[in-house]
Amino acid sequence: MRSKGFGLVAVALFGCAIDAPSDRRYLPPVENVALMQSGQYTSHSSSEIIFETSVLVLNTFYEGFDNDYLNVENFQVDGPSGTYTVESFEAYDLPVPAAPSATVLLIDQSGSYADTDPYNTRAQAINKFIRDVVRPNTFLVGASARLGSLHAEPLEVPSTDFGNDINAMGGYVFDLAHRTGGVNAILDGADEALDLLIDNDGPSRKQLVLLVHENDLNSFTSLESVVLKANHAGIAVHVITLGPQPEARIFAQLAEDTGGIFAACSSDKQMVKVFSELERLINGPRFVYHLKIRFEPSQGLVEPGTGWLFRIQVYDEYTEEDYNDVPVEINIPS
Amino acid sequence: MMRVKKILIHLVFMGSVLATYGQRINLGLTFQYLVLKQVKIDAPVVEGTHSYSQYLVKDNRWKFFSAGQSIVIGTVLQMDYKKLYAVVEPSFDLNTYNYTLYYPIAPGVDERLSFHTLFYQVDIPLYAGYQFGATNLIRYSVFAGGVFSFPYFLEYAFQSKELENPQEDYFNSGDMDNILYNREQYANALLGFCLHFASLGKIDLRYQYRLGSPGSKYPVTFHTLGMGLTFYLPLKLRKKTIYYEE
Repeated sequence: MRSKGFGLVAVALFGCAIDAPSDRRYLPPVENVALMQSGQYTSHSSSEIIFETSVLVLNTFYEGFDNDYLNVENFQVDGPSGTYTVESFEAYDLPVPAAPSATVLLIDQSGSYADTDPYNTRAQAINKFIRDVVRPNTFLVGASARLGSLHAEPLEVPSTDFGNDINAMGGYVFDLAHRTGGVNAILDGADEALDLLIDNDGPSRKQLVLLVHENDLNSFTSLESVVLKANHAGIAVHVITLGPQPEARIFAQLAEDTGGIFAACSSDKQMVKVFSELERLINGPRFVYHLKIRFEPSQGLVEPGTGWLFRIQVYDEYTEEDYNDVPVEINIPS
Repeated sequence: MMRVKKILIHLVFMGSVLATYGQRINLGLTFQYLVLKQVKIDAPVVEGTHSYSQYLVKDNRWKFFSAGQSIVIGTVLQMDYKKLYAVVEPSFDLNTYNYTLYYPIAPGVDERLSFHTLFYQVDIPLYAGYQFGATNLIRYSVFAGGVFSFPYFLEYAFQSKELENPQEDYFNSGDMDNILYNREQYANALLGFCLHFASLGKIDLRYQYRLGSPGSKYPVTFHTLGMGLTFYLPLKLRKKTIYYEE
């Protein structure tokens, strides 16, 4: 009966007198997020590795901006034990892409989001993203899993038409919350999504965005195969991982090798922030910090063919807040 | 302020019309309690006005108490003319609604979110009735008309069924703006059955139906059913013998 009676108490607690409502829409709260724009091997010897990375730091307070006031002291590098030296540091605007984009957003539907996104904020965040995309840019939303509840495996799309149908796609995204389950096969799904983009006659700048919350142990398609196909077709693969499970080095490498961005979100609030800015990150202006880093391991040698995972830590002295770690995977050529 | 002036002008006008033509004029007080309500959104999914949420519509049933209540206190000016009567009831209405929507969370799991709306409003019911079945004590009547509502204060809130849910973080309490409510005056159709007790007062059963939806995006209907109790003041404003005193 308590819930049935009119919530005078609830009104007192949560109610708001409305005088001048705006048309603005709000997302759930967000947290600080930094992303990897690029990461690449530069050179190595048996006692050192030199690599470069570009980091994007999203503005916490305002949408549509990156933090542009950080300096080199605000960046720390962590990873294998050794000595890290920032050899060069630059901060600059990236040019706005000239060509319109066609984007496929692929959602990992495997398992359960009970731990990583218990209130399904991803649906709200993705709904904002698809509303942000306006022509001539186009988008399509799909879902990926095996042995789950999808109608088609490993890739389900409600339509192959890149028609920017906001209502249909929005409804589809919310319905997906009822159909999580099965195992992760995001690389298989990505492989088919790449085919969709290749077959699309629309905008020439093609983008694939993966939202992943589990490791992919079930795909028949290899990471190298996805990278090869994406690079052959000139498609950037952006990866957003959610929670502690997805292995950063695999998905960071996928993004690095295809020219995509990589966001390792430890919470749903960080994921919401990334989606709130995703359209701009794909089609709009960005401000990046470019670092050239020398790493000298304290023990052992740098062997050809080995992979090294580093983490860039960002601290904003103005807000006195830390950001999430930005993983950078560096592979030493064989 | 302009709205209040407009209401007062209408009241004075209607009062003068009744005073001119009435065979009997009664002035009284009315107390109404409308507790059986139905709020119906005629769409399977509702998109929040101030968030990016989509809610599932699952429950459009009539509800006793839990869909909201209206508590009305007002004055009554009634004119009897033969078997007919006309009434104007300027009233204060504490009008609440409660509507439950569902947010998809996981397979087989939806978050139940009850959106509450509270209006303080001035109601001007204006209706005409036909009396029959006269005895010395009791008469019956049916009546129909309209209720013109002028909200002047609005509060809204929502309540999640999950107590541990940090609900304000994840959902927007203003999402039903222009769906379940707006800030505009509105009209209701009114239909009722009344039991009159000599010149003492009357009890009525009344049904109200809101004309039009608060917003244009989703068709929403509001049905309300309740009781009214009216006491006539012992004033001899005008009295002629009319049909039930013959």
